Amino acid sequence: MTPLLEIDGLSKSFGGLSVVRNLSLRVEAGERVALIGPNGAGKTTVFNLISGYYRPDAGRIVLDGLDLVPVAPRSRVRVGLARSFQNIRLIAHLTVEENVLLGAHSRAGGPLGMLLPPWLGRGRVLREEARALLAEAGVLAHARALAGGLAYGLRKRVEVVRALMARPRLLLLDEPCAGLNGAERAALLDELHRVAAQGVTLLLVEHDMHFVGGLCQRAAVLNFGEMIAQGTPASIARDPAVIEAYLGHAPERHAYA
Amino acid sequence: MLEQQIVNGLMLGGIYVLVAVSFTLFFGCLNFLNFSVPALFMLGGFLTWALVSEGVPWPLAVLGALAVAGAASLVVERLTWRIQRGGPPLVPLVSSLGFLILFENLVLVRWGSDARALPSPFGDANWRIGELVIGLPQLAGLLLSITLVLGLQVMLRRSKLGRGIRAVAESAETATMLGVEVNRVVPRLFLLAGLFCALAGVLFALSYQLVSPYMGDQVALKGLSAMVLGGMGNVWGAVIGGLVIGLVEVLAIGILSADHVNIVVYGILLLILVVRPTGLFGDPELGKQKL
Amino acid sequence: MSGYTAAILTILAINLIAAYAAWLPLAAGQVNLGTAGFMATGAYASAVLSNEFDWPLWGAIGAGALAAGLLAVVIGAAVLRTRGLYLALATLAFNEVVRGVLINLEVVGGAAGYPVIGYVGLLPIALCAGGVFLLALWLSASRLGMTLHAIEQDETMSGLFGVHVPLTQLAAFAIGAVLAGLAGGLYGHHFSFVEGQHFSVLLSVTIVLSVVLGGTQTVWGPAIGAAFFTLLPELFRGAEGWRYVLFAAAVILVMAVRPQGVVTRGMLRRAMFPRRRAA
Repeated sequence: MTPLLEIDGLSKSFGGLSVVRNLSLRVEAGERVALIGPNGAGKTTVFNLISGYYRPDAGRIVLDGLDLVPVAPRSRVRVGLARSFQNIRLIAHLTVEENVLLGAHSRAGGPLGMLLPPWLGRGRVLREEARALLAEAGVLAHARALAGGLAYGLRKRVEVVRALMARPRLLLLDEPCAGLNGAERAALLDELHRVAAQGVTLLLVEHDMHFVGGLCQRAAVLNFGEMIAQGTPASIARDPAVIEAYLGHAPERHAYA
Repeated sequence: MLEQQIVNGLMLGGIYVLVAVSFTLFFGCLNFLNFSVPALFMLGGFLTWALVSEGVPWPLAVLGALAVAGAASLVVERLTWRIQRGGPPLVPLVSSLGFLILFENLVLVRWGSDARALPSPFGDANWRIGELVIGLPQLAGLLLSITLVLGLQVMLRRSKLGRGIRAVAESAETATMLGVEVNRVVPRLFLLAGLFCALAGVLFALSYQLVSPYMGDQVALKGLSAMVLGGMGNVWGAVIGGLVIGLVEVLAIGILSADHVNIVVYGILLLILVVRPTGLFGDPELGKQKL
Repeated sequence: MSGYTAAILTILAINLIAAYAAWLPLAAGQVNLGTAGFMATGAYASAVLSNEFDWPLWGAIGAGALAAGLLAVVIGAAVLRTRGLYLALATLAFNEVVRGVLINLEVVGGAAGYPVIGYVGLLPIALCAGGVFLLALWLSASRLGMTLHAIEQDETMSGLFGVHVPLTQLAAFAIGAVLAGLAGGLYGHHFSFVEGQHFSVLLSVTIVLSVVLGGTQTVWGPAIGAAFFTLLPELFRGAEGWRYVLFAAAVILVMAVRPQGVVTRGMLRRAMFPRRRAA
């Protein structure tokens, strides 16, 4: 079966610094995969390469058989790719609803549609959709609030809804639960399970191993731009190479005096 | 005759060099397109005339004009850069446009819009080589410009302030982490660059003996063209750019007419920006992630 | 209504249209310092059509506006590839090139200016200004308006969601130019005279400054800015210089203290929904 996302030999350097080295990863349709690794391991760079923000120095990125590298970044959303960002990138002086509608831009009709208010024509359907998604995420009450004034946790969740409005096949989530409290994490976990059940493939960058364990079937560990291990979250947590990467030394037996 | 025009162009270019270098310092180090630069040029030249016309001996008049311009530059720093550091770069640009209008109109209100003749302390001193006439004040101005730029480069490379400025040019946050006192380095940069363009105004006044409240507007686009031509952020590029623009201006007046000069110079600016915005020697990466 | 009041209101109406002309590109984050150049295009094009080709008044003005829009598409395609500060410089250069060309074109009067056949009075101009305001209101509420705000804040993110950033910016630039051309055409036919000197970079700059002062986030900002700039001299009868001094001081102050401008979206919503508090 063709994987939905296939990364093969991906490499990227900045100046002399090699940030992603010969990375290969396959994500099957419907899977939930996490990219984990210490800070600076290159995880967000991988996302930026998949989105098209950077051009790879070497390697292939293939989405459902389509070679993504020559595809312009703005056209990648149309082939089913959407993402959220590590540092939230919402438009502060637009409302939550408007921010979320931006996510559906690629489905909103052509240039003529731009001249209509967002709630006429096609926009009306999209607006209903947006409100439904906001309700599912538990943030509908804030739909008319300006995004800049909301609490961090709320804005994080709005970002996820915005990405969902693009109706992606592959959803890239960059640290979706950073800064969320326990209840918010649980709610996000449920929501992502729901999203995955509807057929969306998830690729996350995350640090919260508990969250990853609760959501993902597979985790790939990056360190210094290279993949050092892959497997279920449970097996990864026990992998000596992974522990060394995080702690900086091999696991030791501690005798408690 | 062509050689004479080349000479004249280089002399004029010497003045544009200082303005272009001033723009370049602001743009290269602070990513700030500082439109108060032409206003400071005007203050340098015009206030020299104003003081001389009050009877002040010309060396003191020059110092007085430079002092006022320097102080003005520090005010600009306080109200544009210092407050908006880290925000959208278009805000300081807009503020600096405000300062341009402010300073120009303060002068207009006080002295009116007429151009004024400045009696030259040097008379018509010039140097004749064969058929070429080289005005001594202009030559002195050109030499002074080059010397100042050389001094600037030495300062940037060797002195503590220079290191501080280069650190800030890389990144203000990193500079702070490295112990550079950004809040002391930046005002000094403003003072330095401000004095450069004010001095250009003084030189212009002394060399061409004519000042007007609008002289800043005229030099603004030429200084900017010089900066862009030479490559934004590159000081030696600004020098080449300044000299080239001076040449182009004089040759255009000679070949076409004074009326067409603006079209030619600004046409060149437009062309460069569209075709090769990095100019002759600029860094292609500069300005990309910055804006 | 006294002749003097009518004259002020006419200028206000024209300045309002020019303000909205500058507002569109500014809302998209582009510092366009060439608005006066497009006004000049509209003014001269409509003047030529009125004078030499006997076009009906509104036909000439409309065609002048469209000519400005066409010029914007050509220039914009070349110039909008540059960014931010480079764009500011390029539009500045464009403005001066247009002005330089027009001042030297003897066939339209050269530096002496060009008389215009035809007259348009306060009422039609005021109606145009009202129409432009409604258009701005419409665009602001449209998906285009929303997209422009998104581009202004975060171009890269907008692109990743499918926004065609260069094309959208070109649209804002061109529509702005059409409005500028309209303002120019109305100006020319009201004063029955156009001269290149008037459409200087200073004019472009003051228009941009007044819009930024008023605030680019909402449709009310440009109106506030235009009104402030136009009515300020009424406090200082005669002293033109002081008007600009105060205007510039106000701009500097507002940029230092409230860079989003006087009218922000948040402020507008608090004014419209005083009891509602965003959670």
